[in-house]
Amino acid sequence: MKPTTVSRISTAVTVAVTVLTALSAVSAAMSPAAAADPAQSDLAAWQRNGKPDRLIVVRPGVVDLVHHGVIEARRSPGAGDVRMSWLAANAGPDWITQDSDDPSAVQVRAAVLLTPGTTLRIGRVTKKVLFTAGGSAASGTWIRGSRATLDIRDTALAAVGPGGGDLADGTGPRPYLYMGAGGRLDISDSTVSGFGLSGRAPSRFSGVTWGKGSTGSAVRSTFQGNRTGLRLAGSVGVRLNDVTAKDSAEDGFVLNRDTGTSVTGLTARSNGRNGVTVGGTDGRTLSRVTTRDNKGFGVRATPQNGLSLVRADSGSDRGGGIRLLSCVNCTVSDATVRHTKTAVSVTGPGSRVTVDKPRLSDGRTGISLGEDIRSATVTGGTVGDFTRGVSVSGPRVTVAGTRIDGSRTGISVAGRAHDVALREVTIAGSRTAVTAAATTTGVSLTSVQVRNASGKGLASASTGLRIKGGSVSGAGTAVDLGAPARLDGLTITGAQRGIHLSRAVRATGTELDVLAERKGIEADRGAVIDITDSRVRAPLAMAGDGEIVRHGHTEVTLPPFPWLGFAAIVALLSAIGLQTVHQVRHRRTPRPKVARHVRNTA
Amino acid sequence: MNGLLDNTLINLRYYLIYLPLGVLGLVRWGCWLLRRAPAALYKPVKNGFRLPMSVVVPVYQEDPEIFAHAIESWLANDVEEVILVIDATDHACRDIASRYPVTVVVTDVPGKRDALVRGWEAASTDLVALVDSDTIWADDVAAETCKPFIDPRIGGVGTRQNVYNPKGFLQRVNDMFLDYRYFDENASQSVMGRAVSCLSGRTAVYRRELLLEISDDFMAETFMGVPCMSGDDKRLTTLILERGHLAFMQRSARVWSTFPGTLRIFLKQRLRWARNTWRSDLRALSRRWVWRHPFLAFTMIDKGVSSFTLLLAPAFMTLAVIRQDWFFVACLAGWWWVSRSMKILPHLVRRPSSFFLVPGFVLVSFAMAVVKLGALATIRKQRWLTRQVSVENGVVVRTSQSAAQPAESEATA
Repeated sequence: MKPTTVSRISTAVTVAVTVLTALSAVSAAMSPAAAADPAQSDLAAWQRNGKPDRLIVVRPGVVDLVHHGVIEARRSPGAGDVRMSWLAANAGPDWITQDSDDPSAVQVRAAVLLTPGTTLRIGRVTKKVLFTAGGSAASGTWIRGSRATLDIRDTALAAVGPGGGDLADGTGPRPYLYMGAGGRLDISDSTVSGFGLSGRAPSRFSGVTWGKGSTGSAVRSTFQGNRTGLRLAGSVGVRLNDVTAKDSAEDGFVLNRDTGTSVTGLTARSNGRNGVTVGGTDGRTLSRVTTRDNKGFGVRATPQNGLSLVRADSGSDRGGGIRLLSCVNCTVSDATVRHTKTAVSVTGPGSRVTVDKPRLSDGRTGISLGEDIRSATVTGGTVGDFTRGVSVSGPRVTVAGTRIDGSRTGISVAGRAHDVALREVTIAGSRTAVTAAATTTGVSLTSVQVRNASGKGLASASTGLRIKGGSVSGAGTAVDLGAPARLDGLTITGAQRGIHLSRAVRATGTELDVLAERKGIEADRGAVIDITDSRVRAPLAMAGDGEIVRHGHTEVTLPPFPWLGFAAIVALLSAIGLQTVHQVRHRRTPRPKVARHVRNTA
Repeated sequence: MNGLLDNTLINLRYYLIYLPLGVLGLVRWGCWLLRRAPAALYKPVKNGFRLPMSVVVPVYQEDPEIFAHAIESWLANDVEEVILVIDATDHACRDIASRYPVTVVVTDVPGKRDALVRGWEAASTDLVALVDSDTIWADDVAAETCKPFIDPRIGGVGTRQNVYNPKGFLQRVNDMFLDYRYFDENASQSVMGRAVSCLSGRTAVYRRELLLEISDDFMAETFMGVPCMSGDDKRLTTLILERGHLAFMQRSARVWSTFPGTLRIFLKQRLRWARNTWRSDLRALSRRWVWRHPFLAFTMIDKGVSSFTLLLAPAFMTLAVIRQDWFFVACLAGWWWVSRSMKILPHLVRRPSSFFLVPGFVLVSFAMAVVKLGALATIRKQRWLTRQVSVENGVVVRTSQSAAQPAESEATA
């Protein structure tokens, strides 16, 4: 037969099918009796689902094998659920190939549509299901359903090439699982790998998706190398328990607009974007989420209300640990984040977040609170080894009871920050413990402990800074003021310089106790500090061209005399003195006369 | 209030941890100044007094070149006689001795003590110089060591010693230790009561009549039931002082001796000396005579205590490193360098380049403190450690005939 003839016949068949389809659609609309006809329904389903080359339509009590829109065969599984092993045995090798050596392994070569009221079970006999990928869009394999049930247990689902071998990168299209409205998808103790349409394909076909109104569960299962590991898109009451998504091309887990989801023990590892992305739902709780080595954030929360993230554990996620975007009334509790750029970042208008007892270490910024947030509270926990421990750029921020160690800047208050309260915070081993920029107002420090700051304990250009209680022990300059401030009950020890006031700065202090190694209080020209009932001890207690006004029982003394150091100097001088006595008494001692081979004669 | 309390606790912890070291350092420096002050006032005896002198030298497997140099240096001192007590197995040294006008006494009894006794019994002069076979004299050693004997109470006179042409770190450190000893410990003991704790065996001059008197006690020394083999010089000094005579260090008499250049022999030598010192000092402090020389007793106690206290400094350094208190670590290391340099100023004036060896000298001092504690724990052991002899069943015997070892003088540090 000539090619042109084949082409004409093919065109004629296509036209015929199209016409028949159109007629059937029209007839279905016109006649309920016609719509109930399985053949008509199969054609409609075939059209709605992308006209796959081979489509297995599972109906209650009937399984149709639709080839290019034409029912090629009809099988009757009997009443009840359909099993993958039954399909493999009855559909034929062009549809589902059964491994002759291993009856528990099958290769699916067709798309499978579960119609309402049907159930497909995979797992009791079939332990390995390979979905053929590659080729054209119409030759793709998938399982879809709505108001149906797909139950997968103890099974490995994987995408393979047409010949059954591994898929090369970029081979498309790949298989996917999608359960739509009213359906149920349960996956337990299974592995799903290599799934998900790539490119511009709809996100619901990105791997394994619980669609709008569907429910089900994923338990003790792993989703590996999918486009998106696992996606909940408007699902209802899905249970995720001890699930791992790794090596995904995009996100590991996407939880979007789902309701009533129960989440414990998610692990997202080495995914191409974020480990876990959550959004679109209020009042959600995620507990025990573990993320590692993801290219985006460990956990990324898009705008939502009432998110509670409990005991999240992020490590080496490149984009950051936990990112909350416009998250209102959200709480991050007992989070552990290490080795990433920003451990916890909060941004976006309306953000109102509480970070409770975090354990953050090693990175650029421990906690970043953006300019456009509404408010934030950090309580307890430890932040260590960051360039900036806590960066506050937004308003109404409280940091209480947190310990910050080994960070170059302990707490930075800058940007549009106002009404910032630091309470009972301990900052140790920083270059600068606390900085407050000139753009900020209403910054207060209550009982803040600063230890061993190599540079400045507190550097403030923030007008109206208030310090109440607390201490600075060990610093180059304990308190460096570039703007008016009020200091009450602050104790300074082990600093080179206690308090420094820049030009024209005015400050007041009461009950200050300053013990400095060089200068107690230094006020530059035009600066004025009024101190009341205070004690300043240093070799140079008051220095600078400014004015230091004392009130009440203010005491200015020298520091305790370093007796040990003095004794050491006396001892050294005594040794030199005694040596001088010796030298003088023996100044005429001649060199010994001895044979020339002896050289050590001095 | 909490902040203030917290700060106070921090300061208290700091002082509680490091203050004891500071106080201890102060006490140690005080003890050193007590020694150094009289030492700075020391002057050797000057007069024209001279007595006839014999040089007695036990010889066993000595380096031929050094031995020949040494004989020539003794003869250049115009002494009455040089008596070499040579081990019967040592033919090489006997050949060398035959080239010089010296008296050779051949002995087949191993051990230095017996050789010394044979030597002074063979001598015929009023004064006998007991000398090690590797010790080279300046030209005026005999004349200088005679001068203190103008005082009839003086029973023995020691010399100032240095390392013969020091090479390498260990020999330089040994030279530093020797200067420290002769400008500090021995000088102060000579000024404060003329009771030097040990007239070093490399060269010590005694009245012969006293040596004959103490011969039996010298040979019969035991410690906790074990006959003593080494520590002859310390023993002789003790027997002299015990009998009411005095011991003086004449620093203008200078001698040079060889010292080990390898760490193994260095440590063994120090271990042997440390054992001798513990034995002698513990025994002396338990006797009445030493308390007639309170300064000598003080230096003995001070030396014993320092063995323990010296190790506290590196312990505190370790603690500071663990606490990552780098400021304190730097201060303590700097203090070690500066303070130890001050203590060995007489040596640094003589050899300024040794300043750069001071850190090593400090570390060796710590190692020596460990060796001293090890010596205390094994105080009953009798081994020469650097020669092939030992005490077996109460008798000194050769443990090997073959290996020719360089001889080392024994001076209890």
